[in-house]
Amino acid sequence: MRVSVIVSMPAEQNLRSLSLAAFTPGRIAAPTLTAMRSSDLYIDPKFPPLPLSAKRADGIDLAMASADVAPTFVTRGTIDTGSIERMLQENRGIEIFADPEIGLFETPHCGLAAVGTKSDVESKLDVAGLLAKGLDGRRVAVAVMDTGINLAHLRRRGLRPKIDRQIFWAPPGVAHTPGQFAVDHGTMCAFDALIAAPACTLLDFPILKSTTPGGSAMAGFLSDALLAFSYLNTQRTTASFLRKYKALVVSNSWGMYHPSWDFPVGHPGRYADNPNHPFNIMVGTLARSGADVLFAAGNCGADCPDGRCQGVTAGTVSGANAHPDVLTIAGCDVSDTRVGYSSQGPGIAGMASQKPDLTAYTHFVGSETFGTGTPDSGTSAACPVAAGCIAAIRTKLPTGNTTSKDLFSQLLANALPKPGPGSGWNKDYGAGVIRPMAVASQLGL
Amino acid sequence: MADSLVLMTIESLEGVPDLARAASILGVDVSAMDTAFGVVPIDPENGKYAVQVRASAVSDSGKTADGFNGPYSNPRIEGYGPKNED
Repeated sequence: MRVSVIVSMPAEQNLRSLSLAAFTPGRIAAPTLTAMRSSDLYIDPKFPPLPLSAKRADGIDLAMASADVAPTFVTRGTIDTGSIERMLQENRGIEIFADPEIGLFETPHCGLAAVGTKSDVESKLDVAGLLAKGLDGRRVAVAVMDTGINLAHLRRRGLRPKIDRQIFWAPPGVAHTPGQFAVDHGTMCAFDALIAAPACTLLDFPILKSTTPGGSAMAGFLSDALLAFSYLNTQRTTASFLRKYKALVVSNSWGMYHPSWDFPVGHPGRYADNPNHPFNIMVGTLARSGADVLFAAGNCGADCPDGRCQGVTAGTVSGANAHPDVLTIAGCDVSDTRVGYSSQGPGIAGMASQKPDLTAYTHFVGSETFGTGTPDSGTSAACPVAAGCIAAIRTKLPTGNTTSKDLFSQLLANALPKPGPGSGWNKDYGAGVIRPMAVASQLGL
Repeated sequence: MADSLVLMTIESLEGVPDLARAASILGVDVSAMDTAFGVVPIDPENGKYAVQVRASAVSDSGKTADGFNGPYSNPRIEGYGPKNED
């Protein structure tokens, strides 16, 4: 693996010349640094050698910090980690230091206005590159667990969606009309899954259209999801399914907004923090069977939480959204900056702590489900964007070849890291922003 | 007040139990079972199934007993995105 490094070298005449050329007013062209110590080390030719002052027992001698007398110069470059030891042994006086990525702690986006468009998301995900590799989601099933899909709207928005009308489940009382539901949240999610996987096959599971007494227009009950998951788990092992599909990706842009919707803290039947809740068991079963299961992190981020969070912004990644076997997706805009409503980790105590896992794009003009110019927003949009990326990768990586766990590990390892306290996982972005092309390249697809 | 339904799990290593068998494991009359929900495999390899039962037929303590657990929460769920106000 190549890493960015800062390199210090003992002074040599060419280093002095380069440094003087770069920092003397009126001198424009700097000679190229040709004294490469090893082909393993690539020196950035645009970064001029900087003179480093001498260190004495009583402090630093600033008089020695000019290019014509400095004993040492520093520059930057990249090197393969496996070559560092040999490089140091073969070149006396050279020292190599880490050059970690730094950045501003950006202000999370909280406005209503969209940031970017579907084209920007395609560009960030390098969808053109994925398509050039033949990674388009063909023969991959993407189940959209939501309010139902409206295919006509997707077609009006320029897509050519495919749907499997045979694999379908709806709560009792809901019409069995896959692909013909009212234009709503589920249509937005389907649109967003198709960004990176335009040739995938959609499975329509309108679980949020429950007619159970007490349900609202975009709500269901967890028991609806339980029935849908169990049905899907049965379907995915049938000969027909295995003949048609190489993989199954399950996108879940829903959850429980407030703890008051659940049993009280400490009740053994509680959902939020209980791996033994039947739905959490079901999710584990489906994931272990080979499905790639994704959940949105939630919209209770501290900067601008959804009103339904009722001000609760800690421990809100809960229930199946914090299940250890699922990929939990936070949201960022197309400038890779977290949206302020994206729920932050860690996951609720009792479930997986390092949640969210990964970040994907949201808040862009895409499906225009809610009107012209309105954004596809919420971690609801980020989740199917990530699901589409996984479906694209699965085009040439059937479940039988690589497990969900292994694929998720690759997604985390190849994510665009984001600055945060400490290295690695952070509570806002997880491992960072999704980069499907890096994963495809890493896996040799 | 209407008798609500509660979510329970049962264990059976003898394949998918029918509603009568599930009721027997729970120690309730079969008429207390939610027939529309049925017996739902949640981890069939380990013999775990979910059922819904009339709340009045079971204890609400959430204590574990031989062969079954519950009741479990069945919270409302909603999409993590915009709402269609139409």
